[in-house]
Amino acid sequence: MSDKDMKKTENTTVTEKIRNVKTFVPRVDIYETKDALYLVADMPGVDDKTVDVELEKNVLTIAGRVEDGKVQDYNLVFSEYEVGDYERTFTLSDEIDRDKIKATVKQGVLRLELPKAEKVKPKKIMINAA
Amino acid sequence: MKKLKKANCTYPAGVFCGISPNSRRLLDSSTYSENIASLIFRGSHYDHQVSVHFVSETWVSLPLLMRDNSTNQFQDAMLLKLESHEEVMIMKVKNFLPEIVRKTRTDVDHPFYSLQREMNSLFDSFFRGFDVAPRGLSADAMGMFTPSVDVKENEKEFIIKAELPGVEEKNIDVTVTNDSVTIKGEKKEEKEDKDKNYYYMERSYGSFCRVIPLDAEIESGKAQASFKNGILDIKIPKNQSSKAKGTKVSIKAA
Repeated sequence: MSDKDMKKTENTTVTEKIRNVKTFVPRVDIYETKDALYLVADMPGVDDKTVDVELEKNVLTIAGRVEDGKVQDYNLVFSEYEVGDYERTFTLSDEIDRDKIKATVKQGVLRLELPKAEKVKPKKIMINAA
Repeated sequence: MKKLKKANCTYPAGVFCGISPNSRRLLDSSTYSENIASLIFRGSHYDHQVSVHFVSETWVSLPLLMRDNSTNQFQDAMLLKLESHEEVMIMKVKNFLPEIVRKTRTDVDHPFYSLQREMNSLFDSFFRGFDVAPRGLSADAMGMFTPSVDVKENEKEFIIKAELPGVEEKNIDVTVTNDSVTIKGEKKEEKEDKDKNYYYMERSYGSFCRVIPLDAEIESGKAQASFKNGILDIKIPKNQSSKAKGTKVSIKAA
């Protein structure tokens, strides 16, 4: 874990590379509440224009493009992170209501709200006394 | 006992931190008349002081706790070899320090150096297996957040960039002194949902504090910082007058 923490993980499975930059796997938190699943991804450097969330069949892809931070005429004193794009895919189950997925980006953090479909929400069944 | 002045960075509750490229030179035994020096590993709650003992000109013993996984016993000292060759030095020390120094100079072409480096990396991976105590208590292992930092410079200024995804501007505190920059802050976990069931938890939260020592004198008053999309960007001009101190003296032919 410790090595992983210091560095970004490179996503080597990405195909169709057009841009000549590295692609990283953003780190995510996924948690569930009664009504929805939430996915929170750390993608420093992206904003609402450069992030892309796609759902095809049941594959959810989050991608972010980071416009470079390369500065000309500067020497590197030290470097701990690399600049690059982000991409990661997740498989969704049928329990997610696809039409109601919401996404927000704030300060380099992408937040997806994936509401559960009505039919899978826990229901309390009333018991009638006979 | 002499103190090494500069430590490279500060971790929130961590015990250890790095030796800056500047202080690396201080470690050289030739700068010391006695054969003991003291290293301070700086944490925000307390400083952890370690005395290093120069066994000979090139070997130094570090009284760091180290657990041998096979016997599960703590060894209380470790030998560290100091060599005049700077890069080797970095590698040896790197085991229990955050990996902050990415080598800029390489000796790839030189067959002996590359062999030496290979040997060193063998040693590195060997020691890593021991689970060096300070590493175990490091910020990473405790699941705390440590921002990654890039530093660039040209003749006029330094550019420091730090990745701080999800941190609010108001929670970031940047302090500039004459020769270092401190970035402090806290990445807060949202507390709104009480009944969270986690499936993935890869992101980390917590407070962080890093001190970045800079080589040249800087004009602390003229520093500028901006924060956009989770990336903190600090620009600090170098002090031009301090550079001018070294005046060239012309020599007259007699």
